Formats: sequence, structure tokens, C-alpha cells
Amino acid sequence: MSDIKSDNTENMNSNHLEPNYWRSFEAFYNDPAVIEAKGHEFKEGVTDDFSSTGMSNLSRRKFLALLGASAAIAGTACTDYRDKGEIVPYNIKPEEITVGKPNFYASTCTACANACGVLIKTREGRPIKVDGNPDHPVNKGKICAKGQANILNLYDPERLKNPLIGRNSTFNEISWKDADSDIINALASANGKEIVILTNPISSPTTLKVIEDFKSKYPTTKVYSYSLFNDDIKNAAWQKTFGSGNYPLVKWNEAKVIVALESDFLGVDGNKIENSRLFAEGRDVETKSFNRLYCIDSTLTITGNNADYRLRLRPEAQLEFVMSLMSELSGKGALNLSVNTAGYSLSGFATKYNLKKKVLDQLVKDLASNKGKAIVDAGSSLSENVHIAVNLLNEALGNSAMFRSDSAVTTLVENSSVQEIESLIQKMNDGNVAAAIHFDSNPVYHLAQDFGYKKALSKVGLVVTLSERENETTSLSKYVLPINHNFESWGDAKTRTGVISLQQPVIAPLNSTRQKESILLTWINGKSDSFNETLYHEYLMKYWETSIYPTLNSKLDFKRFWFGSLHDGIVLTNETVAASRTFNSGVTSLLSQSSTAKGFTLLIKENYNLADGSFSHNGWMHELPHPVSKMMWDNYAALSEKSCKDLGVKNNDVIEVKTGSRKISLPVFMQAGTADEVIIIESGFGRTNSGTVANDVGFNSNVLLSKSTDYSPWIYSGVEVTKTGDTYELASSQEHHAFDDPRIKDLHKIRNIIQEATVASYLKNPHIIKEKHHGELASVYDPHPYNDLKWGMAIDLNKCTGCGDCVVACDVENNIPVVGKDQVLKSREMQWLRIDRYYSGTADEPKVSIQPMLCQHCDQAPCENVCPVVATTHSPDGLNQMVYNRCVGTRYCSNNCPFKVRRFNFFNFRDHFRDSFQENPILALMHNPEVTVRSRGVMEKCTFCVQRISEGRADATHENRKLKGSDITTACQDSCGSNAIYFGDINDKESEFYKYRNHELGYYVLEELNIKPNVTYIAKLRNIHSEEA
Amino acid sequence: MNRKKFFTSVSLGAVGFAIYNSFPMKYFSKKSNNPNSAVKVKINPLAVSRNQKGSKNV
Repeated sequence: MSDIKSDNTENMNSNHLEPNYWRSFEAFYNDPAVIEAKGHEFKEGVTDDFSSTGMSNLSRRKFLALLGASAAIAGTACTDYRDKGEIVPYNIKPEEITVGKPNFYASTCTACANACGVLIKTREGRPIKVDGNPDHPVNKGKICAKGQANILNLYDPERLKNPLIGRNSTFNEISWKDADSDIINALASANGKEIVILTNPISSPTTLKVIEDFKSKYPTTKVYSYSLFNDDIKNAAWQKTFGSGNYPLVKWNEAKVIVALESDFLGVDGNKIENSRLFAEGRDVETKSFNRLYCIDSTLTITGNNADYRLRLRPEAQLEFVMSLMSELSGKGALNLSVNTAGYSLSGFATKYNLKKKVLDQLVKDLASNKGKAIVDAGSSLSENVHIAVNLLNEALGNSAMFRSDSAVTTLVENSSVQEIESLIQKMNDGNVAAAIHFDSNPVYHLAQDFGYKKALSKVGLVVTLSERENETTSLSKYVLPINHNFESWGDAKTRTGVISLQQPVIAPLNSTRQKESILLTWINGKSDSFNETLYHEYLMKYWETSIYPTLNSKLDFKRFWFGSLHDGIVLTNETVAASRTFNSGVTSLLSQSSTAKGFTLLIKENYNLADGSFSHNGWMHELPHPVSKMMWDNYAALSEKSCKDLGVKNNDVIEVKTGSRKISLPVFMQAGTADEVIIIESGFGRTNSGTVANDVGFNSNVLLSKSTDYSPWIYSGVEVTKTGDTYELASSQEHHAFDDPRIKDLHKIRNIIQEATVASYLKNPHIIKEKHHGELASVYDPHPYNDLKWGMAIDLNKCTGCGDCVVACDVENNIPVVGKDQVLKSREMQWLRIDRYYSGTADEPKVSIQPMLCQHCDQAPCENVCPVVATTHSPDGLNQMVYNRCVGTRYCSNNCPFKVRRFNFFNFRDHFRDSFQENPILALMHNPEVTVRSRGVMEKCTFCVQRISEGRADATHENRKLKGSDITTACQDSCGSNAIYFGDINDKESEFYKYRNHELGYYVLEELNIKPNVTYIAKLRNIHSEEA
Repeated sequence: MNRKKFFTSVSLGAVGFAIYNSFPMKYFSKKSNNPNSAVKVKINPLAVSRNQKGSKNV
């Protein structure tokens, strides 16, 4: 191994133009076990469950006798076992429903604070799919993975179904009337003590009005707002620098140079859907315009994956970096403002942190030559002085032109400060709080433990938690009141200037739940019987009629305006953004250098899939591979290779991370591109009392949070790390379904699976990719003529950020089951679409290549030839089809698929996962009725959303016209925030898709096999300086 | 098999079939969850739907 390792090291150190792609450290060091394993279609032990060694020595005669008897019993007893259900036509058909045709409802997503507009697809009254609302000006028809998977939350069998009252640590059901009555009496007898409403950020103007009314009724009420991850530091720095307002929105599409400092603006910082779209607009192969992205951060992120240049740097060094950068720019006369940067030097900084000076020089050159067309963005987790320094740098470079003046983020309720939360807890401990109402919040899980919130709760007379499901806070509450899901609720949201989004229920509450606002309204009315189903709906309409409608100068009467607005899901207003801002020159005095950090630094990051834990009960989100590490079902301590060596640990070794008196033990994952002596742990895991899917999955990083920090609430220096000696197996899909290098070294390079070039080389020679093509190869078959419509897909690798939203969209559209961690460890995950990620370069500074991989619907598909029962066939319009009823599960097709995109149902996973959790009847309501629910023993794969094609064809026939390629969009295409996926008719020369299908940068993966794939990949161009190409 | 024994066996078999078919398994099946009876799906009449994805109203 050492010889091979030295070969690799020499290779990467030499000036080879061809990148040395690798997928993991095992592959990088050519671990013989990994290379051997890749030679097998299925992982070793994958069929052990079906070993014949455990079979009994039953005689043939006895077996046949038992078989006969069993068949007779089954034939008699089970003749009517299958519940046929009530498949009868509507007695009275709802006016808006046409059986077999979907209805769409515009609404607002509440999966996160961005409140994007959504369009919810329902079939016969059941919500089955969520897409973005195309009319919404922020997300423009796209929605993220959490928004897509939110539908699973609606049908979660473990949602609370009735109000609960806690007595002696046990909870019993109680009627709404009794619960309301008890609570109203308790609130009325507060006797001057404080009534606390603890909430997550509120984005609804009408909800805010309800709370104001509540405060009028109960004057001792005080509202506290918190969010585990927020932009508070960034906004506070902006206000100190410019006097007022929040950090503005950025014109990512216009910026020629983007510098992201610990900023994951394509991931968790800001609105990723909007940011991805704008960023991708700046990387357009059609207009041949490309921005340049520099990332300087502590670990790889989605943004870092897409960087043209990336440097790894521990977070506490960011201020020094910005000051050194300003010093260098100032020395070159590139700054418009005078900034005192005495004592800082960029070359000294590069030496101190072992950064490539050449890259820093390029950065300085780019910023100086793109003044007013560049933007420097600092991540929300960085300390205030870094943000102030960045504001100063942008101002000095004239980059304020990159801030948007057409729209700005609005905040209805400011988050409570640490001091305010401390004061609240002091009052609770002193017995001065009569009631604590958790308004859909979970502070016991989220708040730093040294606040002592959990202990203080025991001193409060009345603890009420409004929640969709049980969690850490409900277990400590007297009353637990079940609330409606997003799709069962009315509401509105205002997160931007100039637009208010409306939320409407697309289904009546499935359980005995209530809208959280109407619970407060009942208490405001002071009578437990004052609740009715339309209470909040009427309140919302009234508020709009009296407070919002009059400001809009609409020519329509209110009723028409209201129903039209509900139809659209949004209302645009003529609100403008305050344009003026005054630079506070005194702010430079705040740029004091913190002491240089030593030892390990801990960075707690928001998990892409579970966020702050609000999606930890959602199996689809657990099983969506982490966009960087490809990990599923766990979090971990990400460390650099050097840090692992220094600590003497490897993947799956358990370490103890200790900061102050707070500690956690969790497994290690060696993450390429991580800064040395930095530990990254992501949030949302380690839940308790939170249901079958969430409980005891991963490790709770929130126990490491503290109310007092040196840098920011998410960064802790001087962390102690010790190896415990235990191991814990992590499940990563990174080495699953690999098709790049089975046994033959560097086959991925030979096979040109990833094809890349630089912008400069492409502009010089537009045919740089096409020149590598093999041309038409001879075939033993006569080519099938496709003269009419033929389906194909094109994926622009310049726009794809590898976020994985498309994977969840495919899960929802095609009824993909959750399989669980034990099955993931056996490479049995079922997603039809995966995001392949390749590294090239060194382990410390890897370049990342992303490639969505799905069935390529090959014209000469090798899977079709080997199926003994003709279960996989080709359609006249070019689709590689699966006939589930024919499939007998030989898995020959999967074996023969060169792309490894076929998935086999080793079990009925709905029955197998978590003791039949997914067999719960309510989850059947979520299924797309146009897609067969597959069972055990059946092979499946991407169908190009054939059900959508069939629906489009039926519509076209009904309208007496020909089906066009542009009539159909696939689920993955609909969800892609950066518009990287195109789908259509490869013979339609007028279509947008045709341009990409035949683009000069287009190539097919494994085209040398002459299987004629129908997915075109647009080669990625790296916008690096020409001298490095 | 004589004629009497044949008819006895057939009769007993038919009775057994009828009892077995109606009692033991059905008893349990009634207790199982019926997807259509467990959850009532009701659309909200006050919401405003559209038939297609696109097209603004106002």
C-alpha cells in the first residue's frame, strides 16, 4: 500500500494536467479491500439473509403435504383477506374534484423561516406532492428538499392526535374543552406574574396580531423569540456599520467575483433556492459568462464544492485574513476608503496558515480589477468584528452596487438576546412566571444547557406546549396541545419587502388538531367553547380586509381580491427598500484582533437535511445523503486527515469532544478539505422523546452550546479531544454503486466519466470536449429509427450544486420507501437518482466534481438484453421501461447496468423499516396514485417520470394536438433550484432542451460502450486563471 | 371409500370450510386497520384550487 500511496502522492504533486479523481480516502490510498469490493456487483454478505444453510431437512413428501395443507387453509381462510376499501364513486362529488385529475393549491411553506411559495398537488383531496409556486418572486417555482419532504410530516403516523395532560410523568388524553378551560382559568389567575410565549421567529403579520391581542387580554404576557441558527450577528454588524436595516440581499447573478468566507450561501446561509438560481445564472454556457467563486472556510460545504478556488482556514483566523486582504489591497491603491491595517500582511498571513500565496495573489488581483462587480460574503456563524471588517471591505471596494435595492429581508420579531433569555430564566426560577407557552418551539432541545431552562421549567405553574408531535419539551409540559400541519393551516408570511405570501389548508385536519393561532384566539375569547373550525380563517380575512387590503389600492372588491390572492398564493405590494445608508467611520475601532486560537476549534453547523432537528422525524431527510460526506442516518465529528493522524483515530473511532464542562462522544469522519485542528459537528440529531424515526439517531450537538462564547454561539476554541477506544459504524453512500474504477486503476479517467475544462480553454477552443468523442461506433444491431418524439435529458454540471433537492423530489413523486441505516450499510438505499461526488487533487485541498446519476435510458440498453422475462423493455419514444408484474428478481439487469442505477427491493421496505412503521395506513394516503408501489423481489429505477408523460399524452389527445417535449417536466427538473436539469424531445429543434442536448460541451457517460445513453452532461468549466489551466 | 363415508366426509368438509372461512381469520381482520376507515380525507371548502400549475389569477 505504501508503494501505491507514494505513486499517488507523486502523481498529485506533479504537474499533470489530468486530475486524479478519487472518491474516498480508501480509494485514494488504493485500499485493496475497497478495490476488491468494487469488483462485485453486490456487496459481500448482501445475500446472506437468503442463505440455504439454515434450511431444515424436511422430506419431499412431508413438504408437499404441508404445502397442500397450507394452500388449502390459505385458500379458504384468506379468500377475503385483502381489504378492498371503499372504491366507490362520490355520492356528492366536490365541485373542484375530477376523479383522476390533480388539483393544485398555492400556499406557503413553513418548513423553514424563508417561507417560500409552494404549489401543493392533491389527488381526490389528498396532498401528494409539493412544488414551488412559479408566481412567487423569491423561489420562482422551485422548492428545497425540506419543502418537498414536508409532505411526509403531514402523514406522520406519530403526530399528536389529541390534547394531552401530564400527571406524574404520564400523559393522558384530555378533551380540548377541558384543556382550554383549565388553561384559561390559569391564565386569568396570573396575578401579575409574567405569562411567557416562547416562539421561533414569526414571519406572519396576522400571527403577530393574534399575539398582540393576546397581550392585550393578558397584559403580563411577554414574547421571547429564538432560533438555533440565525443571522443576528450579521445583521447587528450591518447596523453598527451603516446605522440601520438588515444585511441586504446580494445580486449573486451579477457578481463577477464572489468571495465566501465561511459562508455557505448555496447551502444553509440565506435562501438557498434563490441564491442557487442567481448564482447559476452567473455560470451560463449559453451566454458564456462565468463568475469566479473563492471559498475560504474551515470545511467543505455545498458552496465550497462549487468553488473555483478554495482555501481551508480555521474560523477564528477570518478577521486576520480580511484585515490582511485589506492591507494588501490598500497597498495596491485599490481601496476607496482609508482603513488602518497596520500590522497586517497577506504574505505573512499566508505563511502563518500555510495558504497558497499564488491563490491569494489571484484573489487580490481579481478584487482590484472587479471593483463594484465583486462581493465578499461572511458566513452567519462568524463573529461580529469579521462581519464589520467585511462590510468595510465591500464599502471600500465599491461593492455596494452588488446589494439589491429591489428587495430586502424583513423581520417582524427580533430574536431575544442572551440577556433577555437569562432574565426570563431568572424570573422562572424566582417563581415570577405564571405560565410558559411554547408556541411550536422546542427550547429544551435547542437552548444551551447552561441557561438552565429545563430546570427552570419545573418552577413554572403552567407549562403548555403547542406542537405537531412529541419532543423534548412536551415531556416536561403540563398540557400538550396538538397543532395543525402547514397543509392544514391558514396563514400568511412576510419575509421580504414587496411581497406577502398566503397559506391555505389543502386538507381538513387529519386528527383532532387545531391551528396554533386559533388556540390562542380561544384563550383570548376566554371561553373554552368559543372555538370553531373557521375561527382563525375569519380572523385572517378580517385582518387582511382592515389592515392589508386598504394599503394596496386594489380595484377589486375585497372578496374577489381575497379569492384571487388565495389562487395566486401571493400579493405583491409597492413597498420599497430604504436606499440610503450612512457609513459609520467609527466602526473601525471595533476591529480589534482576538487572541490567536490554539488547540482544537469546534464549529457547530446546521445540518443540510435535518436543520435544527425540525426534520429529524422525517425518514426521507435522514436518507438523503449529506451533500458533502454522503453520510446518512448519523452525524459525526468531521476532522482533517492530519488531525486524525495526530489524534491516532480513523473513521468510525469514537472521540470525546469537551468544551468547558460540556462534552459529547461521537464517531470520527475524516473529511477531505477540512482545516487542521477544527472539528465540525452538525445539528439536528440525538433526539429523545421524538418518535420512532428520530429517537436515538446520531448525537445531540446542542449539549456543546453555551450562552457565553468568545467568537459566536457556534464557534468554540480550546476544545479538548480524546479518543475513547470505542467504535461506531457510520453509513455513507459514497462508495456505493460505484462504476468508476472496478479493479482497473484510473478507469474513471480512461472512461471520461467526469469531463471538465477551464473557461479560458473553452473560450479558446469551444470544441475542447467534443474532440474527445469517439464518433459513431459500429453496432451489431441496426439502429432503431426514432423519427417522432423521443425523450432525453440534459444536466448542466456548471449549474448543478449537488444539493440533493432533486433526490427528495424523486422520492416523493415515485413513492420511494425509506430503508433504514441497517440497509444503507448493505448498499440497499432505494433512491433512483444519486449525486455522485468525485474528489481530485490532494486530501487537504480537493477539487470537487458533482454528477447526478440516474438511468440513462440507453437506446441500446444492456439491461434489456439480459432480462429472462422481458421485464425491462424499450418504448417507442425512447424510454427504458420496467414492467413490475413481470419482474422475477434475477437482478441480471442490475448486474449488466454500467451506471449502477437500478435498485432492487430486497424486502418490502415499507414492512421492513422500523417494525412496519411505513405500513401505517395513513402513510398510504401520501402515495402518488399514478406510480405503482413496488414490493419485495422487484427491480426498479428512474422512469423519466413516465406517469407525467402519460398524463401529458392524455391531455394532448383530449385537446386534439400532438404531445410536445416541453409539455412534460420531470420531478427532479421541477425541484432544481439552479435550473441545471433540462428534459424534452431530442428531435424538437425549436426547444430549449435541444440546445443543451446538442451543446458543444455536451457528452455522454460511458459512450464508448455504444449503448447510446439519452442523458447529456454539459461538461463543467472551472473559472481559474488561464496560467493554471 | 363407500358411498356413505364419501358423503359424510364431503359434508363434514363443507361445514368445516364454512366455519373456518367465516370465523378464525375474519375475527382478527376486523381488528386490523382499514386505510379508508382509519382516516377521513376531507378537502377544505374555503381553499381556492387551480387545475394547472401556471397562470396567475389577479
